[in-house]
Amino acid sequence: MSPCGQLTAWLLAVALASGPAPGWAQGHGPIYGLSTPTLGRGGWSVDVATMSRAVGGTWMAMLRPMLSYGITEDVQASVSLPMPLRVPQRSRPVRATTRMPASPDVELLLGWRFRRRGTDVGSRLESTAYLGFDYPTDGVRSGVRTAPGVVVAGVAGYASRTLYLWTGGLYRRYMTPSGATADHPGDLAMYSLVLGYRPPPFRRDYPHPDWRVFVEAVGEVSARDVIGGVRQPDTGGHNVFVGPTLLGLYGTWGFPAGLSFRSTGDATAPSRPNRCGSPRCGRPSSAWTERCAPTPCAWRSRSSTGWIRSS
Amino acid sequence: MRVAIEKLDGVDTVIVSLNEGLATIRFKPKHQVTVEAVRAAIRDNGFTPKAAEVRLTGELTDYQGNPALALPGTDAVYVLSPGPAAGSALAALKDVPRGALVSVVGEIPASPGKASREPLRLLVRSLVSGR
Repeated sequence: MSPCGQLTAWLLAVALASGPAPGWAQGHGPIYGLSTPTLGRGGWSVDVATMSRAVGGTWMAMLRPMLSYGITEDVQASVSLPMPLRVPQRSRPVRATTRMPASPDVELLLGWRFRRRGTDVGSRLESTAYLGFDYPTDGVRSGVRTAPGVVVAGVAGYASRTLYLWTGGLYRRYMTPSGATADHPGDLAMYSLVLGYRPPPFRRDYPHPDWRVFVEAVGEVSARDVIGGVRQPDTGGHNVFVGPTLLGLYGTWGFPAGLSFRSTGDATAPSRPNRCGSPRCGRPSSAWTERCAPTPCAWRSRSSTGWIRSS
Repeated sequence: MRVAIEKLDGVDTVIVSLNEGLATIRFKPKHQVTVEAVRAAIRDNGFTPKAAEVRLTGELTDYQGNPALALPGTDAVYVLSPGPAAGSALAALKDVPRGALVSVVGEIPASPGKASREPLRLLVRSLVSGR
């Protein structure tokens, strides 16, 4: 066939609307809070987290890689594996973030963006549901036997080239028998509100760097531990953390950083032992380190280093 | 999304402007990429394709009594309709023998959903060659 016999449509300009954030559908926005984007079909991302936490003079450390894959443009699966580097006897790992647990559990998380509606070029309203399964790699945590768990979460929000807003909730329940044989850490509920803004200098198109700032509020409500069917005193509680997050994107790499402060909280909450306001810093969502000040507490912080890679 | 479109065999360059909501795509000679394939790549990445501004060259044919362009090497057929500024572009095609190569510039409106068996409609703005 001659060259002229072929289609020579040399130029095709396609208008787009209501797409996800540029190349970052994996939720590369907030660190601690829930968000709605999912990977594109066949897309993948690798997140590597390093976590550590110190409480009362002891500290724990963990490496947690997470692999995510876009099954369809609206459904993705993620699996994250805990690789404990140091586990003290008295450790009480908490989930800490909505995207992956800080506890030594293997987690499979499925996300389904069941609603997506474009409102303008580059902006959309959308909702995503998550279903996850946790399987512990340890037998006992802080004197309480562990058990597999189920995670359900839902989040809805708005995203554009300028503003972001997400609100959602997560619930983790341990799958153990009830009654006298029940023996598990307290179930956990989390809720989050995320506000984001992309300053005008960073609204340029690829390949220019893309920076966004977020303010994240995350609440953690933990039920009391159950041993032999009896709820244990001095366990469970409610903490609320608020703080800013910064996210930088370039190509397929992302570099988030953030700080969050405990604005309210119970001394008996799993994220104990602080009675006072405590800073918590994290960067990025894929890799962060948590450091908690030893008693008598005055502050608690989390910091992190790491990277995100996606395709 | 840019990477996904670039992976289509026959695509030369892709420029995506999320601010403008626009992807500009240039193709290699002799390629067989269809508009549907490009739109599928866009959808697979979570975006919603809207109207496409195109320049197409294909064999003039008829589809249910209407002039159409058949893209050689593919099953794609685009039914030609007069666009807002078409003028006498389509009328000129009456004198062009079927099977002749024709190049047109126009707009393919957004598809209502995912891939359809019905041919896409091309709102012709101007006839580049084929007179």
